[in-house]
Amino acid sequence: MNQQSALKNRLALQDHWLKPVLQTPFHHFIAEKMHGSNWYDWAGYDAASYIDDEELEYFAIRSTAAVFDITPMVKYRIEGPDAERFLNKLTLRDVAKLKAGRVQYTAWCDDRGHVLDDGTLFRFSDRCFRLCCQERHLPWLLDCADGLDVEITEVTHEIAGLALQGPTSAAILRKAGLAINSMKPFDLARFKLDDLDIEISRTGFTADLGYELFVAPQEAGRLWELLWEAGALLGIRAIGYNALNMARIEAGFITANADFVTSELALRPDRLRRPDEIGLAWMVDLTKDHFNGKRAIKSARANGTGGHVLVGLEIKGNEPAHHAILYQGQKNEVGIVTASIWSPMAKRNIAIASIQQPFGNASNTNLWVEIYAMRELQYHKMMKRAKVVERPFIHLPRRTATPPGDF
Amino acid sequence: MKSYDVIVIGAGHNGMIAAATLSRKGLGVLLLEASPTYGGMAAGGEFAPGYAGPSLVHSLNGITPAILKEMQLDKFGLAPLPTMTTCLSHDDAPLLVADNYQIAAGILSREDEVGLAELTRRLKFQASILQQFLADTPPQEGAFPFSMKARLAKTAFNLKRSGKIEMQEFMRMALMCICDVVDEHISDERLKGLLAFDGTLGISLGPRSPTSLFGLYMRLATRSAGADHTNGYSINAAGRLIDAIYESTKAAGVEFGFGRKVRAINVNNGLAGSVETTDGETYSAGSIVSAIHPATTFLSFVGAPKLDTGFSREISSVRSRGNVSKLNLVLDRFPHIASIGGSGEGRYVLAPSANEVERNFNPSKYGELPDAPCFEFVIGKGDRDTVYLSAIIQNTPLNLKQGWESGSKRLQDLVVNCLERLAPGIKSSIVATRFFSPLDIESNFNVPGGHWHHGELQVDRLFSLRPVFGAANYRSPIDNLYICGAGTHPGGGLSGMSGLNVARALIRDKGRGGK
Amino acid sequence: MAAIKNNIQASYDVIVIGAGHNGLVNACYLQRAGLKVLVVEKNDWIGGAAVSRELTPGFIYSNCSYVCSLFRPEIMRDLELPKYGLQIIGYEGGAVFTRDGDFLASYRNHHAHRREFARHNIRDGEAYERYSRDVTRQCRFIQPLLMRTAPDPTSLKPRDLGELMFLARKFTEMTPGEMAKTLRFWTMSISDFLDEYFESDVIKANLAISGIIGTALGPMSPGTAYVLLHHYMGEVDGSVGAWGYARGGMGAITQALTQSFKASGGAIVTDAEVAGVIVRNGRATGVTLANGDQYDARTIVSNADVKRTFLKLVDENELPGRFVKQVRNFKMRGSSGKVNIALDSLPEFPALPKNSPCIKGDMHFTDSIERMERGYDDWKAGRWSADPFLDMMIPTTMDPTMAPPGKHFMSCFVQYCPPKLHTGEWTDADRDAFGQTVINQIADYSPGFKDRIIHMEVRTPRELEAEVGLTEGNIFQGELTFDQLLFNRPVPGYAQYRSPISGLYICGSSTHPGGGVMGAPGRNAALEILHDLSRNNEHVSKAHEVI
Repeated sequence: MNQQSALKNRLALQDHWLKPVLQTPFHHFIAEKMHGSNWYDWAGYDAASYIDDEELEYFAIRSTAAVFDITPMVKYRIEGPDAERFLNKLTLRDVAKLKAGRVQYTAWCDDRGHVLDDGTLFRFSDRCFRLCCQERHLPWLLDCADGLDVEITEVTHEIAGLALQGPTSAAILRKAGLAINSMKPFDLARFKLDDLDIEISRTGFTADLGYELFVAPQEAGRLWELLWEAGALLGIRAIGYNALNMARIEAGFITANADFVTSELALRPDRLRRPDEIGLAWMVDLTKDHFNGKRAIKSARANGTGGHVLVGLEIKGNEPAHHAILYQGQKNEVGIVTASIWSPMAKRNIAIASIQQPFGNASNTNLWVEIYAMRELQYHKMMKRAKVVERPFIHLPRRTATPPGDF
Repeated sequence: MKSYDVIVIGAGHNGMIAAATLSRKGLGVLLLEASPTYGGMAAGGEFAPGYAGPSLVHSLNGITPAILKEMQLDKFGLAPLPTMTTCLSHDDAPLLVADNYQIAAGILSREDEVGLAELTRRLKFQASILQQFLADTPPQEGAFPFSMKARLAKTAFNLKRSGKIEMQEFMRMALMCICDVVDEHISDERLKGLLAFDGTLGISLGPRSPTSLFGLYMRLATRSAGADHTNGYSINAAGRLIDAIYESTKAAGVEFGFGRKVRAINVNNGLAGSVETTDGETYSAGSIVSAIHPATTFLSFVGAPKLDTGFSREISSVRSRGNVSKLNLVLDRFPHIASIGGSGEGRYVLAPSANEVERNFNPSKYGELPDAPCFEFVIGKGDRDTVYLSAIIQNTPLNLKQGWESGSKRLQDLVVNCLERLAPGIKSSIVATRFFSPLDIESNFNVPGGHWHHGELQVDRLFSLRPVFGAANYRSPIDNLYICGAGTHPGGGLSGMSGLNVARALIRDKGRGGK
Repeated sequence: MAAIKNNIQASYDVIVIGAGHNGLVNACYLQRAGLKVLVVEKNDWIGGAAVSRELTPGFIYSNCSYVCSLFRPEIMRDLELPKYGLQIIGYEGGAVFTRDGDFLASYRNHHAHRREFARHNIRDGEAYERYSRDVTRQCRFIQPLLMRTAPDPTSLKPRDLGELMFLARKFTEMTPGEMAKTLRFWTMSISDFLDEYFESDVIKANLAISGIIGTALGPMSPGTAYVLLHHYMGEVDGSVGAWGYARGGMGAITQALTQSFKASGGAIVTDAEVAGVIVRNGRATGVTLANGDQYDARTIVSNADVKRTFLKLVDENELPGRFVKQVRNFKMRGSSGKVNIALDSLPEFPALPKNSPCIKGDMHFTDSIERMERGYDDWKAGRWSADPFLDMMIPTTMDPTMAPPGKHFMSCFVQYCPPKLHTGEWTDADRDAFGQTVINQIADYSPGFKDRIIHMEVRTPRELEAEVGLTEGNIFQGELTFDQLLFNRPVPGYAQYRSPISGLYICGSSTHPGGGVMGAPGRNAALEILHDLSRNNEHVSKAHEVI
């Protein structure tokens, strides 16, 4: 690009400050359904906290189908002959094992093995990928590509995305004319309906049957209408983040900068976490060639310096333990609850918590949670017993059934 | 594929010292050198077309007794070298300055004599504190050895013992700029000019830049750490020393591979195992020691893809834009320096005042040449009854805006015209000329940026931070890959300490037998 | 204005020389400890360099310091300054105008800020996160040191050893990697530091500003990364690093301090230039004024800079020779000037979009580090720069109390401006030419600017020295280089607000932690004095914790 046209482009963008929080291409469809104005700021976009009733929205995930706008997710296109090599150096898992048309949940670390972020990696072909995540990482990605033939482009605004989650989600897609029956979990495929190009992955954040659909932003309206038409009799419902968050806690999924602090943002050095400390040890593939943080993770494992663990907790009673302090023997502080709900599906009081080792082991029978329940301007203080349990908290056979059923 | 215990890359003095030391421990060592000869930047060769002699180096500074012993350099003729510097200026009388900035009585004003005595005493004392660390292996993460703690405690004790005032002055002065310090002590402009020149030569700082005093400390410390007769200015001394080091290295049983330019250090799973040369050969080794520029070692030979991103980012940020040029003149007679009434062997510095050195530095920040360059030159007898004039010109930036193609000519003219002013008639006595811009140094000596120190020798890149934190103890994030050379502690010059230290580190890691 | 001289007696417990913000902070704390304190001020107005002055009818000028961030909230609370009218208003924006007709804005909104950076360089837009994290980490390290007396590293007193341990502990709390970063940060130039994060010239120029303001160094000089920190470690009501306007001008700070001081029973006398500190048997016993008046006190505190205090107000024979030499060697070369302008309407900057908030903050015309550095080269050569760096703002866009409706006060801080010219001392003609250079720079970006000017005041280091008493016009009462920070400030061995003369203290910006309208030196000095007088210090709050 020559200097003149660069300047022209730059001048044309001057007015961005008038609208610091952008609207996704689905915004007005969601706004139409929304009662009131329940938006929050997700990475610079308006995103719905809830549409009208978060409980009903949650139940749409679990009993019919829920639509959640995932456009604000930060997305990078990674393309080139060295794309696979680049991603293998960047991320913890072996990308060679990720076939074209598949999706991988993954994470990446800095030199010291501290987690920079987690996200999903889509492989479209031998040399073309997409990385979706919570935080922005362009400088890190570009520097990581030093010496490799790969092009990295931020494409967040170039792709509109919807998550369709719930037992009738497959039925809706079938009804819309999309042949998704053979898609297994983490499969990725491209579809064409008339002249509408849709990318579909069988992924989600709910531990339920579900798909994520991506189109060009200008086609967002067509996708929305397609789903609504097909889903009219199958209980389709737009949802906000609050409902999704309940489902993801039941699924035991973690969220960057909620359940752990990403290493590029952490101000306090003791907040940094290695994959082993946030339940991502399984991702670390020490058999592959060099990747960022490998040396540090290996040496931390050798020295046994895994300071914390991130675990699922089952807590007595029914009062969610938001950000509660964990105690060993009701006395010594050993951790904090990062997310918690009363699980409607498990009918249990569940939580995700970060605990200092060795207190996060399943054998620990003396773990307590201090809960402050505010009732009419007075705290009810409770000390409740907690038990470390496996995640996910719920298992739904329909999540993996292929071909998927109608509900 | 040939296999060795150790491969050393780069036959500069540090590479040779490392190779020889390891070989004497019974290891099979191959020393690969891209050029057809040994010596690196201190190599002999052509002083100017058709005239033999060293291309770049014309001084010796501080080979330590430890190196002399390790390299059995007793055969190397340790004759006293000229250490006197003549400060020249266009308007002022010349000033003779002996080693450590001693000046004969009666030349300076009374106040300046007192001030200079105090200044040199203080600088020497402060440099001696740093000198204690020159031979050390800098501590790194998780490796803060007892010896280093003991050294720090000893330093603190020494400081304390030196008295309240000296302790205070050390903590005040350590990071100051040269100008402020010299202004506090002396008023003679020529002397201030010399101190300013010496302290900033080879780095991208002016004498008014805070921390520039560190350049003087480093110079004084390296010199006083050196054995007797290993400091001074002479066209050939460095060449003789390099020859002696080469002979000693050969005698130690090191196999030399000249003209073997390394293309890659092969790293598998974080382990360095072999070296590939541009002629397609592969040599495997248990350990690899790279004695060349850290950026070449890590970014070119190992390659960023094999390194953690934070580390390669840090290596890329090492500032390595050369700032000195070299002009070699072959003359048919000794120049007649007007203010002296002749000339002889020795060193001459044209840096009329500290402010002039700073004014010289200004344009270099923007990729421009100074109008009136400051430089030093050493005169000595050359080939075939000629006289060699070897000049080092400060503040000639690598990234010259006008480009070095035209810049080379312009700078040479500036210097030669300046010399003509000092020594009328010199122009007509020039028989041959050779010039190296930083760009030429880069291409002729395989040094990125043409930087004499393989990266700025500034406070933010010293000791545990040199070349970067994480590779400052001569080890690297790649197992079996070791580094030494000017890019590592204690930096450039001919001290040879990093060569010795890397050999020691390797032997320590691999056990006594080194295998 | 008639000199204030009510109920003044001949004898006090404490006399504070100079009614600058630090002198007043110091006086307030001492008065509140039950001591009888008199403040003597040479000018017929109060405030030193933190003043609001009506220099032309209807317009209030913050004619020296012009923005606020560093003033410690602990002091505002202790001395009840809000009660006496102090209010700080955060900036709304800021801009660097570029020569190609564009600008780089600073927006308060996080996303707008990122997109603005990205507009100039997409990578830099995302690099800002890591940069601000790293700088914030450094701030967190240094902040706790501001409100503490620097330890004397040569001393073996338990208190000094304890403070040294505190420093060492703060340092060793870091991971080794962090320590390495900190060591580099403290010794790097802001230019080299920014090169490690950013690519865009204008973005680097924008961020380098805080590294040079007030210093006699260019952005390529090592040590300027620290200066950046010095400007970042303040806050506006908990918003760390934010800057703001004092409502009613910077005089609001010293006016509130004065009110607070008087309310607690303190006395101030203005138009009372101190001619000397009276020393008897090595002890300070009082001050004599230029008009011959004399006041006695067992404790004298000087808010004047260290050179003025010890080279002008104290008889040299009363001081150790080495101390005098040290004070002479203290570096306080002025590096900045100020142009204050009354405008009859809001200037237009055609480069800015309509209603842009940028005009409600700091504006600049220097779009590369090279241009800043060249200004520094001019300064070294004893010239003001033909292409000066300006830190320009129009406080009246946020604060209507400073000018008549529709009219505006503009403050232009100018860097670099030498204390002496290569031609000799400043003359009035030089000063006017310097002012014109500044006006021309602004007019290049703001058509019709010159026609809006109603009145203007140009201040070079000469004026700052003559009026406010800052030697060589240095706004920090001493350069902020390593050799003059922490236990070296102002000089080694006397970094704890005391002097070789017993009973004589210093409390200005020449002392730790240095310049900027911070108040910490005045407060820290008060603590030392109360300690020496065995007085209660419960009314002096400890520094807010950094958690």
